[in-house]
This record gives sequence, C-alpha cells and structure tokens, in this order.
Amino acid sequence: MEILLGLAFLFFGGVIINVIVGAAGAAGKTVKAAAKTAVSSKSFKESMEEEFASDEFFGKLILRLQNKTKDGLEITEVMMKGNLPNITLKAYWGLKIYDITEHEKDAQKPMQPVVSAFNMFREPNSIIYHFESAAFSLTPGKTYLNFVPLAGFFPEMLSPPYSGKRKLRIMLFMGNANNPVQFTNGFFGENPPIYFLKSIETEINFKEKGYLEAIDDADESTTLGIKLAVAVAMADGNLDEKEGNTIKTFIKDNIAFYEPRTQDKLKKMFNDAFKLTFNEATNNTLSLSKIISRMNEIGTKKIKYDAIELCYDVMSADGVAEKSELEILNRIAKDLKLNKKMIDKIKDKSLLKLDSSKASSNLDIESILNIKTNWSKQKINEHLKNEFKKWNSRYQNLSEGKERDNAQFMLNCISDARKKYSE
Amino acid sequence: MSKIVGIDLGTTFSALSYIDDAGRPVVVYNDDGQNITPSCVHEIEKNTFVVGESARKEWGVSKKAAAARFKRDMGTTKTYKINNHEFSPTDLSTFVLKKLKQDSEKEIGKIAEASVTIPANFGHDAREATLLAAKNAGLNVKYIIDEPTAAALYYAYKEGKSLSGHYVVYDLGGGTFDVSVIKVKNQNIEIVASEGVSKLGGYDFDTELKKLVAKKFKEKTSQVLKDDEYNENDAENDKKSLSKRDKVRVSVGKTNIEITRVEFEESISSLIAQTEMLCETVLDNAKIKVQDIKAVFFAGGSTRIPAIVNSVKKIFKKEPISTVNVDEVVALGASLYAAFKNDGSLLTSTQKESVSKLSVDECTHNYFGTYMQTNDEETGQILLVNDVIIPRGKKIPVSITKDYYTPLNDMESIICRVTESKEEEKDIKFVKLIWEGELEFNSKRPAGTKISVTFSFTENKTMNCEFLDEETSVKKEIDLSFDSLHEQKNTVEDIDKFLVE
Repeated sequence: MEILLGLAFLFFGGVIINVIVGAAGAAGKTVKAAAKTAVSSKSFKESMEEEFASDEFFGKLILRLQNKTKDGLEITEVMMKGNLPNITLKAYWGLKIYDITEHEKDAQKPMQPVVSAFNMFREPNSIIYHFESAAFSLTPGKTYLNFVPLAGFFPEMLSPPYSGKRKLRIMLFMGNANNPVQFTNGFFGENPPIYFLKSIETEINFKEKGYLEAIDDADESTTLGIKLAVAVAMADGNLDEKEGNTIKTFIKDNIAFYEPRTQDKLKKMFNDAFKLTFNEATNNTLSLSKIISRMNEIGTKKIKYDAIELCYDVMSADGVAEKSELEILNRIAKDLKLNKKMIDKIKDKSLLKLDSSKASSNLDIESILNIKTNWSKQKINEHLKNEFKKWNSRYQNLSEGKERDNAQFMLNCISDARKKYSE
Repeated sequence: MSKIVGIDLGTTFSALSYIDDAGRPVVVYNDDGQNITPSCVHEIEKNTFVVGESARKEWGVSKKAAAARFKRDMGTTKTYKINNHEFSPTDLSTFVLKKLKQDSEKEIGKIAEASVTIPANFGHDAREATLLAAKNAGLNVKYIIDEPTAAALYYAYKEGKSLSGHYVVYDLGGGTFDVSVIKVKNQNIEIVASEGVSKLGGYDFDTELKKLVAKKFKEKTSQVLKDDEYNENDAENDKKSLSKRDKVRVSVGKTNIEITRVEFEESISSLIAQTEMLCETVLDNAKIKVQDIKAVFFAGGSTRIPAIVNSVKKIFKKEPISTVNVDEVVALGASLYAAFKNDGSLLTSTQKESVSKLSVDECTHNYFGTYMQTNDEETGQILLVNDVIIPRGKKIPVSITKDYYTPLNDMESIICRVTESKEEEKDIKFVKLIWEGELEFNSKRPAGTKISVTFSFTENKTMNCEFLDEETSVKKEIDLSFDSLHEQKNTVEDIDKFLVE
C-alpha cells in the first residue's frame, strides 16, 4: 500500500505516505475505490490546469511510456500529450493492460488480461489489473502541451498468463465518472461509455511463473503443503487428534469456495495425500526432500507461506513443541527459501498457542529459540539478548492468560539458554 | 505547613518519606515502628481490613483471608479474593496507600502533595491504575516517577557534586527489576536509558527456594511438602539468612533439611541470567560501554543477595555501591522529586535551598504509535500494522506529528488508535492498544485526505493525542491523562469503611 500510494507522489511530488485504516465498513469497500487513491484529485486538477494554461501548441494525442525507479522498485508511467476530446464531462482516466503475445501471432487467439499482485490495482470482483484516476472536470478545448504522467504500473506486480518475454498492450481510456465503464474479467461489454481510448505496446520479460502456469500447479502445491504438515505432525511418530483436526480444517477451508464437483475432486486429492503421507511416515519411507524440492519447483510464495503456517499450526495444535517437530519445521522453513523474518513471525505466533504447562524435559531450547549449535558463544548470547528484549516486551503487552504465560515461558527458555551458553 | 511526600508503592514492602525541616528526605515510620510497610492486606474480621506486618504473617499462613504481591498485576483485569470479597490490584493498593497516609499524617501532619513511584517497565494501564489507587486513598498525587529515577535522584542528592559522568541504577525489589543508565553532572540527572522486567524480584527467589526445599523434602521423606509446612514467609526469612550465611537449616515438622547458599544460587541462576541480559540491553540502548560506567548504585532489598552482587560485578566490572538503605532509597528519592517539582508554595526556604540544585531530564521508556494499513512486501497482503510515532528514549516532554492519508473515497470517519510497546513492534498483536475512538468528518472525504496525528508525552508521563483533518480542521483530541480517564474506571468509594482506624 505504501508503495502503491507512492505512485501518486511520483507524479505529483512528495514522499511515500502512510494510510490510516478506515472506519468499520469503509475498509470493506471495493478495491476499485481504493485504486482511486493513487491520484489525488486536487493535485491532478492543478496539474491539468497548468498544462491547459497555454494555447501555443495543439497537437494530436500521443502516448509514451517512461520507466523510473522508486525505492528500488521499477515503475512505468503512462504519459500523454495533445488535444483532449472537445466535451464537457466529469471524467476519469482508466488503464487496462492485456497480454497480446499469442494474439499477435494468431489473430484468432484472444488478448489475455494481465493479473495484478496488488489488491488495490484490481477490478472490483477479480484479480485482473485495473487502474482508475480520481474524477476531474473536463471542458472543451483542452490540451496537454507537454507529456504528462496520467497513470502507471509496477511491472513486478503484474502477472501475465505465462512467463518469459511477453508483449503487452497498455490501454488508456477516458470514462464518465457518473457512469463508469463496467468490466467483466478484464473486458468491457458493447458500447461502453468511453470517450477516448488510446493504446501503446511494450515488451516485458517476466521471470516469475504466469498465472495460468501457477493455476495449473495450485492444487498440487496445496497437496504438497498438506504433505509437509503431515510430516511435521508425524515427527514424533504419532498423529495427535488435534494435529489431524488442524489439517482437516485446512483441507475444508481450501475446498469451500469450489463448486460441488470440483470440491469432490479436490477432497479426494487432498485426503489421498494425507493418507499416503501418513502411511509413508509410519513406514519410514517419507522423503521430505522430494516434497520440498517439488514445492520449490511449482509453489508460489503465497502457497509456501500457507504451507508453513499450516505446519506451525500443526506443531502447536497439541500444545507441545516437540524437539522432533521443531527440527523438521526449521528444515522445511530453511529449504523453502522464504524470508526469515516472515517465518519468525509465523513461528512466534504459533509459540503463543502452546501449553507451557505441558513443556516436557524433552524440550529443545535450541530449536525453540532458533539457536544454531555451531554458532560461537558470543553470537548465541547476542541472539538471546535480542530474543529476550522481544519477549520481555511482548510479555508486557499481552493480556493475562495463556499467551502471556507462554511469553513468560519463552523468557524462561531464554534465561535457561543464557545460563547454558554463558562463559 | 502541609507536607510533600514521596511514596514507594512496592511489591512486597512500601515506604513513605518527606522532606524534614532541615531539608533532608526522611522515611516516616509506621504505627508498627517499621520504616517499611508490608504491602499485604488481611481481613481480620468481617469487613475489617488491616495492612502491614500482621497481614503479611496471615498471608504466609493462609491465602484465604489475605492478599499480597498484587502490584505485579496493576492495570490488568486480574482480581484477588479475600474471603468473600473480590478486589482488583488497584483496590488493594488503595488499602496500602491509605495505611501509609494515615500512619504518616499522625507523625508529620497533613499531607498536601505526593509523588508515587512506579517500575520503569510499567505501561500506561498500570501507571493509570497506580494513580487511581492513590486518588482513592485520598492522596493528591502531582507526579509519578520511575523507581530507578527516584533512586538516582537520591544518590545524586547524597553524593552531591562528587558525581559526574554515566552511572547505572540497579533496582531489584520484591517483585520487579529495573535498570537505568543515567548521566549525572552536579545534581542534574539525565535518564539515558531504562529497562525493566515485570515479574522478577525477591518473590520469585522465594518461590525458587520453596521449590528447592520441597524437592529436598521429597528426597528425604518421599512426601509432598504442603504449603502450610513451609510458606512464603519462611522462604523469605531463609533467603535473607542465606545472604549472610553459607547454609540454613530448615525444619519441617521433625524433618531437618539443609540448604546451602550454593544450592540456592543455582536455583535462581536462570532469573539472574535475565537480569544480566537486561543490563546488557540497557547498555546497548544507551550506546555506552561498560568501561564508561563510573559506578553502579543499588536499590531494592534483593540486591543484598550475594549472587546478585557477583552478577553485577561480572557484568559491570566494578563493585556496586549501596551506601544507603536499599529499602528506603526509592521513597527518599520520590520525596526529593515531589519537592523540587513543587512551585515552592509548600516548602520552607531551607527545604527550597536543599532541592534547588536538583533536576531530572527523563525520557520515554516505551514506543507510542497508531495502527495503519500497509502492504506486506513478502506476501502482497494488505495488513494492519503498528506505526510508531513517539519512539523510546525521547527526552520528555515531547510532541511529534506524523501525517497519514485516508485510503478510500467517501470516507465519513476513521478509527483512531493509540498503542504502546516496549520494542518497536509492527505486529499489532504485540502492542498494547491503550485507546481507540473515531474521528467523524463533517462530510464524505476523498481518498488521500491528509490526517495529521500529534502525540504529546507530558512531564507526568501521560499522553495527549490529536487526529486532525487539516483541510476541514475537524479533529479528535484525546486526553489520556489520569484525570480524564479515572471516571471511566471503577472506584472504591467505600474503602474507608473497611479500614481499621
């Protein structure tokens, strides 16, 4: 969000801004409305009036793309110069992006919409890229004398159907703010209330997997997440009832939004994976490396985080963090090559769910506290000091009850470790 | 002339001091002839409560009719049962403060103003709960002061001009542990950094000693030690003995158990490890090296434990200083603070002269912030996160303004929140929400409307906040000071009828 709103400031100057959370109800409004925040109406109007102040040049409308870097993130601005339609209208600018790679080769093949990884740059009811500026008043005889940035996008946040070099058509249109253009899955219907439309093409190389490729893999990667969770649950040789129920709930949640036939298909697929992994773990034939390796091949970041979160939920389900469970979890987290800070956040939250009164003598403080035994004593003590600061603060801020008790339990673990590793 | 006093409301013991006619801070003895009063409450007969040594004895024997150690739960929803009565920690603290006030007024006359100490680690809720307890006890509390700051003030007063440079105040009391790095020049004290642990003190050491005795008792008799066979008071007495002797003999019925100092120190070593980590943390926060610390000053009864002395020597590479009574030093410092903060109207010229050179520059111990919406770089999800406005370590009073923007069009209001945390936390789960309300606009506001948020932390360590829509001047002002909040909380109006006159 901060980056997104930074776009407005790229156009009109300033710094990245923060966003206060809207009051109850407002937060649930459509992303379409949210997307409008990218351009503030006041600045936009000022910008336009400045451009229209001179009548020295009246040329035809030209689009241009301009790449910039802001905070290490590439931004493509859509710039325009020339005459605007001779009408009076409460107007807005809209931007759509289509992948035309296949369409160019074979005109029978349709243009395909591009998906946005950013909620705020999406159509109201889909994940397809969509941008709308704030409304402004258009009167006849207006012209942009110089190139003016009207919209923009972050190439990194776009996902075309497939990876590799993709040809994109960037389409800028002017709509009526009182009767906005309606889109369905990226396309408008017949006779849309569009007053101006112009497009420009560009080519971008996408390294990440495209959305159609990822969709093909989605069910398999969810299955892999279930397998990893079963592996964690079975790390101590048994499947606790609460652990099993946690995986069951995950499966239920993951099939809930599909129509009945797909639900049945997915249910079977996920249940089979559950059973198979359970049997493999029981017979000591489970290969964690294979599951992780396949997950790294096909899993998106989101799916991987979902899987890790499920694994930690399973670990904390029975209230006990077994040494074997923590060891396997640390390995999965490391091998999935995810951001360590994010993993620590997920882990900390799961530790708060434990039942510290059940902590056994088998407790592995090194695994709980992420201590690598090959670290020097100095490094361990430095790490412990940071953990102590973190949990001491959390203890202070958590309400009375289990979570606070668990924060105290973590403080006790830290001081035991300090005792163990102090010189 | 009415008196100005300082009160150390402690976990195990409390004390009150005032500035005498010669301008010196002096502890006032209670009706039992003690300089410190046990923070224990006992119902001796129906609806009749006593505070002090007899209550402490009763609490050791039976927890049913007495309560103690409630300070550690100040500001929480936890309640304590005394027979059929249910009290909040604030109610029980009111009893203790009332006792201190009553006993002291018999000795020194009417109390006009007081300052009360709190642990450096106390958050907003605990701080406000302490102020409420004082108000309910009939005290006019003008200022609250952190316990290590009060101790530092007394050491600076006592040592006078001989102090110059960086010092550490190490305050390990009955229930909480605080450590501060201070910078002293003449009698001016600057609090450079302060850290604390809420539940670490003499009471925890007593608990460990009880466990040790229970373990040895079981080894010897195969029986489980019962609470009435060896209670908290027994453990406290034995702990004190072990500070002077190498071993103690504990008699449980006909069974004698020997506990050595080495065994006891081993049993509390994990707790001592926590104090050491906190000392290292406060040095890091103060950005100062051990060799630049001139001396370590002790406060709190638990600093008498030899293992604590050794731990401090190990960490700070120097012998700690406890030239004053460590049980009294916080109360003495609190009365000095109350006196030098007073406008002079309640002081004689001698008293004014005595405190005229003292001054304290304090800093924020916690982070204060608000919720904002942001995009998680890693997952792409929109998240609610905590955004810090006033960081820790800012010299107080401090006022900081930060700008935020509304995310959606046509918003009619926004939710305003005030948070507090010990560390710079982004995760809202780990911050304390101390206030929440709504700023209602006059009309529907467009996305990107600028909201200026100003947080001001006052000298009395309370917070004022403002959420302002600059364009329309519509604003939400929040006064988080005690006076504005106390009416929202429960008060103990009938506390007087419970007290023994």
